[in-house]
Amino acid sequence: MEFSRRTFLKISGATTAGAILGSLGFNLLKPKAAYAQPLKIKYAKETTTICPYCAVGCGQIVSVKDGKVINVEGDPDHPINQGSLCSKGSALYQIANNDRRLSKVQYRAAYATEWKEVSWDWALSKIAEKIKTTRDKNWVTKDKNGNVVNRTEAIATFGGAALDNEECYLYSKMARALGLVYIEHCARI
Amino acid sequence: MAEKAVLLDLSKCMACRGCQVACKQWNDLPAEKTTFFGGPGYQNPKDLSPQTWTLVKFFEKKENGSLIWAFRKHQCLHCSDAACIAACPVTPKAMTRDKETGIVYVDESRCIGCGACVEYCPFGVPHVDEKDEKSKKCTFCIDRIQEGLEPACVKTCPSGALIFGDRDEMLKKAKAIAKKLKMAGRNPYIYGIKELKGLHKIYVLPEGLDFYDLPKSPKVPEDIGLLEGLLKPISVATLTAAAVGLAIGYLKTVRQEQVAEKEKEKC
Amino acid sequence: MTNHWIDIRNSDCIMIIGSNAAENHPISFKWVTEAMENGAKLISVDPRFTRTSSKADIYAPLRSGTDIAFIGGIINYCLVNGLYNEEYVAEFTNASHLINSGFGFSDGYFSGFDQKNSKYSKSTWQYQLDENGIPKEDKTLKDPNCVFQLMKKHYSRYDADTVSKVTGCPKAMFLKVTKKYCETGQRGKAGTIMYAMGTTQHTYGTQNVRSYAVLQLLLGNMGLAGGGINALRGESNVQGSTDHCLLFHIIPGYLKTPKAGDKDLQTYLKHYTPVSKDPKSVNYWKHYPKFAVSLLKAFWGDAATEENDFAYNYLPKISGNYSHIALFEALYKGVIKGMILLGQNPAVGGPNARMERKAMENLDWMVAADLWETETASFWKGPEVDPKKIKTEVFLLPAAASFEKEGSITNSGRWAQWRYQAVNPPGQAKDDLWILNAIFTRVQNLYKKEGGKFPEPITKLAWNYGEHPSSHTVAKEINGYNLTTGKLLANFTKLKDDGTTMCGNWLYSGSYTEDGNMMARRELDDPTGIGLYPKWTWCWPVNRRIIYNRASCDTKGNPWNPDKYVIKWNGEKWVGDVPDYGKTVPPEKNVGAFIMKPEGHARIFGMGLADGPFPEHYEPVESPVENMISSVQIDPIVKVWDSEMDKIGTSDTFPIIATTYRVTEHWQTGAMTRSLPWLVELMPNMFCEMSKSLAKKKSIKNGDNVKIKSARGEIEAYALVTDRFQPFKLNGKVVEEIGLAWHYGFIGLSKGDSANCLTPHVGDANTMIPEYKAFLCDVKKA
Repeated sequence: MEFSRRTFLKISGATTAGAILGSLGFNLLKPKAAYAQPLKIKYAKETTTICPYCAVGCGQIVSVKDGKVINVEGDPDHPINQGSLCSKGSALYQIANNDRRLSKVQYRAAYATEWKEVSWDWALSKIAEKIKTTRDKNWVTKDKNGNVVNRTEAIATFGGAALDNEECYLYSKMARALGLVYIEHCARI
Repeated sequence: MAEKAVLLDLSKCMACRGCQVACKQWNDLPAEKTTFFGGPGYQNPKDLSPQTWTLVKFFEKKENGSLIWAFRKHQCLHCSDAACIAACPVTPKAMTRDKETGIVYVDESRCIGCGACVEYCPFGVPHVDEKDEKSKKCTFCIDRIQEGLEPACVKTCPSGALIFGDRDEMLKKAKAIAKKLKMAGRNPYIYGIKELKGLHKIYVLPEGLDFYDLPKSPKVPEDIGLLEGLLKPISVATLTAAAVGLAIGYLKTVRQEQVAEKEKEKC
Repeated sequence: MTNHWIDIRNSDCIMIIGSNAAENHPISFKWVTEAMENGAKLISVDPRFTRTSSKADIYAPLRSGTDIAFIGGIINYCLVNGLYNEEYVAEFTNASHLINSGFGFSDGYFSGFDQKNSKYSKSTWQYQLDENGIPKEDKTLKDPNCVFQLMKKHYSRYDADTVSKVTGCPKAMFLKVTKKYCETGQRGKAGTIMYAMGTTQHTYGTQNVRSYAVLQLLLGNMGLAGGGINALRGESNVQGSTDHCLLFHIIPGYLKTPKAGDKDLQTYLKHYTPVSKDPKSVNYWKHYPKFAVSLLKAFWGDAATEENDFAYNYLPKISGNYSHIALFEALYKGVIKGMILLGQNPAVGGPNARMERKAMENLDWMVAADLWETETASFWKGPEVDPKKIKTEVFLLPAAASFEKEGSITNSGRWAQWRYQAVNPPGQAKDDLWILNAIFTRVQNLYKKEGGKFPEPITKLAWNYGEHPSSHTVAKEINGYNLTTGKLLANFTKLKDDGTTMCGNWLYSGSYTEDGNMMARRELDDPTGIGLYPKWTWCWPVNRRIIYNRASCDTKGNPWNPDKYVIKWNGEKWVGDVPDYGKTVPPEKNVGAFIMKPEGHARIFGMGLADGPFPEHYEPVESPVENMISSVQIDPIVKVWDSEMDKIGTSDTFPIIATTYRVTEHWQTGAMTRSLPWLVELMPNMFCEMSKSLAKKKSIKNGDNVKIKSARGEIEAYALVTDRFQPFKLNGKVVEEIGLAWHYGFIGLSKGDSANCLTPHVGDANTMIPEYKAFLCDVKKA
């Protein structure tokens, strides 16, 4: 059976409020006037995700307001972590709000000492040219025993255990179509 | 709402420090600049501060040839007999107790940043932020509690070392855990039953009272009443942090002299 | 993991060895703790007393790299004292199988060693076959040529005294662990082994894992709730990236990359499709042709036809080893000109990192996509480098983070879980699906326009994903379609080898069906009560939550532990988890509990290994002692490389053992944590842990800056002096060991020297995983 996102988010919301309240033996609470700070995530949009660090696969809820991540915490419905997170998982917010994040394409020319900002279009065209030139120049049709091998050993790919399955699959498909054999990633090391 | 507490079952803490980061995240607290290492083991930062409201401390000892590496999450204990409240000189007090839950928090609209709470807290918890001159400490995530959520640190704790609930329930749980630990040959102590007429952060200390850098019998300093007396003549409107600072300084000197005198008597 | 995270709670005894689960997989301790609350015992075996050890009932120290000696000792104790599950061993493993009488083992070498080529001929490592070609068995386990007797003989050399001398674990402590863990051999009990890179990152890492598997089979722990051997994988989707085979030797679904000489599809399929002459055998890999042809159809679509061998010719063929270490050796020699990296940082994470950084200088170009600048993308800025002399052009592409895109990732327990996009990536950053598509479509257009060398695999590749591939479209391709009906396949049993089905990865068939996206499910039903959550997301294969689960029942189909049954036979069918067996095949048909093996039995005797059918102790390539178990010092299959930067140190110059590890607060090369201020606050600097005795000897105080030197390089770190490291007594010789966090590098908010500047460029005999965990060094005050 298929669960639409809308449905599960409703369930998730109800559980956060209901299950936690219930398990703690709370009656439905009346906010106490004395502490006046409003709950910051109250009107935020919630999205479920899975933690990008280790492979336990903990569920997280990302709260977004005005297109910005304002809070991340464990997904209480997730059967593995049941709302909990370690220090890394708890720090996800700082991946979203981080002035060191790359936001533009950078290029380093041969013998240059600095990065230079370039456009996607320029970079992608150059990359495609480099792949083609290197592949064509270093193409091996047959090995020394006369076996057809149809490969190039001049291009290597790395990554990525941090990619999604769909990305891994396309990466694998692309690399094989290009005739690459130096295909490796963190799973080996 | 009934009186609330967080039970800290240190036999289950593995110092992942999810609580430390979750606290910063929920409360929008910036990171501190640290270096290797703030304390024993992997402890960092060195201490609580206006930017760090909770902190895992590391303890290491060798006993009968085997090693014990223990961890204690340090933060405001939300005392029933809270020195910080007693010391708070403004009227109405900035250091406030939520009567129903027992949570102690700073009402920043009233806080004048005088540091009386800093001076008198037996656990070294509150710290005045130089930037906005307000006293800062663990709020027990009262904003979350009021909306039926657990405190951020409890929510994030993976191993069940932190449990949140009604205080009497937490005490029952603490006793059950301590009993189990005792049966396993440990020497547990429950910290928070009687201390300062009952704490709202209750520790089960598997290695006993002495090992975790907690005061053995924390007290509200005796001269705390004197502070109120000293400040009485000053009207609420004109009370400044500087005035309180002066009064605290005066009392500190008195206290030191008293201690010195007692020492002398001993000799 | 054969089992999954939640299942740890079902265990009676948890042995964490070669893993520091509390630090590197903290949420696993939710379930470890729950098991302990229910009475389970926790054993931590580690060179260093870790946050995991702090929670353990028993902590046993073990010198890095001596797992086989330790586990071999437990196996010996288990066999000598009859603590194994006899029915399980006789019926479900190949213990009863007779081996060629020419097989033998003598002083460190198995039969068939070819000294000249450092290779084994495996002709004697084979089953004896009867006249029908079926392996001969002796269910009484008494025949001197049966695996059980050969194993007993092999491990008789691993007595407790020898184990203690080799590992440095005090004998009493070793025996305490052994007795406790062997209790799980009792009917109704289950023990689990949690392991990670402390196990695998050795020159005999594969055999380390096998030693755990052998022990678990003897104790009857495989297939049970609370049992299994559980690899705790380190990256969020390293399971998925492995399943999709971003590795030289395999293509999606663990199919073999064709080798030079696999000249056509028929040759290839014949080469890799196992055959069993036993009419009872399931031999599941007999379906290999269906998986392979369906993959070729997914890759080349209409261009893959029966007439052209389904475009088999388009697949590159390998001749030799192209693994990480070999790759960098080739790069060092200038064979490789261009490199593409998506979220990987070998300048910090690769072994002998100084050498790997140096090798990068030979690149003409590099493309790197990441969230932050990495040491790899900026290798030309690194220490010891003058950028003005580096020719490499580098393209650094800004990538999207996990919550800035939509797709699935597979956790260590094989659960493929869907995640959603919460926000857009910052600025011009793009998700990797977009990046891959943008690169490939441009390459494809160039070949369509200009032609080039063998352009067909590129021009004819089924690649029609538009401007921005939808993760749903790709997920469906991975699941596979029936090409006749156009419908998504229900699972891999529907695959055909005639070109009428396509499937990007047979293991994932069933993940996205006509019933919807199974990976996005969020139902919390738990019908068996053992925490399988069959309707929470989806897991491979076919949503089976515990693999080898047929072995959770005895020969009659009754669960070894009825209270925590995984499956059971109800007279008509198997109920519980998705059975790892025919759903309606009755137990008395006895088709073999391990259906992926042609003989239907788990292999205690593993003839597929490069370095021996039984795990045997050898020393790390750099070791302070001589092998005390045989006169063969190192695994004889291990390749030692010979570039001028591949130096091997000896204990006269480098008397101290070093090992590397991670901490909770950072992740891998630090690329995703050393720019997060909260995590940097917790773990700001590179540090080196050492014993008080070593510190005293070297006049080092806690917090001092120290220099650590190996044959490959020298680094600096803060000293953390602690009782948690103790020197090892090895046959009377006292040897110190130090520990290094390997998260640091020269880029980021927190910087520090990289531990991998010290590690050697040698790899495992079977997998070529680098030896990161045991090497030699010296330490001094800086």
